[in-house]
Amino acid sequence: MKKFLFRLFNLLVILFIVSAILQLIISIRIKNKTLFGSDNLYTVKDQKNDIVFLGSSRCYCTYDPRFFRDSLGIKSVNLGIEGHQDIAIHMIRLEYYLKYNPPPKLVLISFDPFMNAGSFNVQKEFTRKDYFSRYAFLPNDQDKAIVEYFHFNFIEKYVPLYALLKYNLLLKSVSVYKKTQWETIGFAENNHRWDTIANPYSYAGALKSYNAFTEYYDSIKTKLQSLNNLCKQNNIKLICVEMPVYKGIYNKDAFDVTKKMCDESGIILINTNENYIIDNPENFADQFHLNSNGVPLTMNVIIKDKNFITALKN
Amino acid sequence: MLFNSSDFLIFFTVVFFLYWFVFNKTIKIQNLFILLVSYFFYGWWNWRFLGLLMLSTLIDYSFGFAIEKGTHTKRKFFLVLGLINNLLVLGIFKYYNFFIAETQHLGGLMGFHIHPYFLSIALPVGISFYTFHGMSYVIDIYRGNFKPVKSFVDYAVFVCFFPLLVAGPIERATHLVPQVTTPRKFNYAQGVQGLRLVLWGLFKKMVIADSLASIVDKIFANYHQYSGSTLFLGAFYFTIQIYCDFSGYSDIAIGTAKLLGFELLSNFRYPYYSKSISEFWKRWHISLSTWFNDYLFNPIVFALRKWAKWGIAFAVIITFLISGLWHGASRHYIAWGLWYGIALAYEALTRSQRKKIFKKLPLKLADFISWACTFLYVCIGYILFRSSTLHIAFDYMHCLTHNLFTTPELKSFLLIYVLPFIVLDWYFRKSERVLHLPNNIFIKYSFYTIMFYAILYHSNDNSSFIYFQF
Repeated sequence: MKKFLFRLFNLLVILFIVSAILQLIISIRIKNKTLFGSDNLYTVKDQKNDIVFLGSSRCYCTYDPRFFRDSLGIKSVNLGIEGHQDIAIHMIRLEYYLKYNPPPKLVLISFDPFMNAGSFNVQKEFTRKDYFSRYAFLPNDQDKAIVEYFHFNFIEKYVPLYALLKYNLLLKSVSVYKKTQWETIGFAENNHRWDTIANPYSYAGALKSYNAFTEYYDSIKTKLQSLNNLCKQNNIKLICVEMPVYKGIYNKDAFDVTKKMCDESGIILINTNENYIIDNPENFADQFHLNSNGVPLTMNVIIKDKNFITALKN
Repeated sequence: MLFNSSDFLIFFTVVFFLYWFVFNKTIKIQNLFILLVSYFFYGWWNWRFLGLLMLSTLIDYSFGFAIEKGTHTKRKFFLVLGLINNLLVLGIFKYYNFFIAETQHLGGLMGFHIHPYFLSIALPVGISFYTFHGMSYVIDIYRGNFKPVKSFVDYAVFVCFFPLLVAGPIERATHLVPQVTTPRKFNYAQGVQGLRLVLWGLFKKMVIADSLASIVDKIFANYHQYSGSTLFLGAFYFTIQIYCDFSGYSDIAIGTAKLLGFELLSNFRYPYYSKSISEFWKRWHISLSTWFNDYLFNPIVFALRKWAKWGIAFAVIITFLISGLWHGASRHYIAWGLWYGIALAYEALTRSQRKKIFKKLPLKLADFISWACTFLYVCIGYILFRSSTLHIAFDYMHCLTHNLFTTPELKSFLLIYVLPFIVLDWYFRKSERVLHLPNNIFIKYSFYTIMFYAILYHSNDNSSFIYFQF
């Protein structure tokens, strides 16, 4: 038994050492770099931006910083994280930004009845968990919040290389030299048009979100107010923007609930669901996301909004 | 608790140390400990079915004594009762809804509209395996092959030993009980073999089977969209997937048992190198096929001995129909059983003629043809097994004939997973249950390290084993 345990221990030590060395090499290689685009927690540093965009994929593939630069001559950065409607992660993302960058004038969060506050549909298998698994091993104080948000387990946090292997980041870290779309143009542009025959719109999924938003109204409002407080502490004006959805799933009553919440919280809301945008499927990549046709139309609505102009001037 | 989960890793590490260092004073304490952790292991899945497992164990244990002590008539009576007990448990939990639905369907065809009562209960994990343990026990006692186990704990360990509880290998009392009742000492070589088998089993399951599962699921779910060549590749992938899944499970079970000082029966002996269907079934799920051979096929053949070859053919078809039904209460499993029953009956009836034909061919060519035909037959058979209904299976086979000789899609998996696995499987083919590695520490540690990282790399999806559903 002694011999068996001794040899087993030796093997485990060897595996541990090899893993630790590989973990170290990979960590150095990908430090301050983004592998996918939205895992850009440490990539955005020492930037003086006027606007920071937050939100889910509806933010990540819509806010085009080039548009704001060309139209208004202002600097902005899109920090959307696709697949995440929970306000908590966007607040964490903003905290990262504020730690390494001066506060912007405005924060525009894509906020609509598809958002939540982690209060319903608690996910165990998070979308894009793999993107953030690079932060799982031995998280520093800053990374603890995001590691907790994604529910990384004990082994993922304390066994070297485990999270990187489990979430298939090993090969990705080798190809880190390839620039992501986010690095090149500042957001994830959808260049394709919506194939409405292969993927027709479905109201059922949207309805589920609308109902959940009403059901968890109070907790979402609390989270939104926390985000607003964080902005206020840093002299930032928070603006909520309802991004366009295809008319087949657009429900005015549901979107009015968002407006009510913003009004009650004293936050400006811009609704970009103009008929000329949402009626035309040519503006969409799918029922929730705009494509390169719809993006400039929507950006135009934002920059022409009186509240936006006033907030930017102040 | 799945073998490929971190729960099991923690569970087994704790059990291993307590078993060898704390509860090692006497064999009784060690067995009681094994029994308790086996119940814990089973209860982790669903504690409510623990009562059923305990009751079934207790009844078979009692019938063992009743058969041993009874007169000739009573022995038979208790044997029948013992068999009914196990078959009733299986019948209620596994087959009731199936037979009721079939009766309803048949009634409908004849114009009777029946509205029967369906049970809405989960199928207890491992029910097909532990009831077969119980049946073999009472039959062996009735036949005089085995004396009843005196200690209930020892008998319960035989039935509930956690490595084999949910998906076998299906043990025999004659093989396992003597190991349960004999003091066990840790053996270095056995421990190393055990760990290697666990590692190899995890590799087969998590790296090969689970990776292929995603592509197999995709092909079988959208079979109308693919060419015949891709559908054939889908069947081939499933053939590899199910082998890696089930033999991977068996390797982990055998390896885990070795680490606790037990030697379980072999379940696989490189079945895809078989040159006939009968040889395939001597190498595939060996513990089940020998069980059916001993307790069903041989008695039928004996009863029909006057029919000579035809008796064997009839017995083999009946045996494999029941074997199909054992795998699942569904028509496609029965058809899968029949698929093999027909092949084996054909082999039994044409043995001499086939020998004559093959004698005329060069030996290697004859071997190759035999192997290719067998493997192809097995692959096609798995379409019946994998499809969710018999109708879908036939439709899949029909689609298979369209554009069969075109370049298949999704072939990259061949290079990444299947070919490397075949190379390794070929290398290990002579060392089932032991997994011999060259006596070079660098090669050994490299092998362990590569296996370890490959498993970690594929550890994202802890999917269940295919045979857990049976």
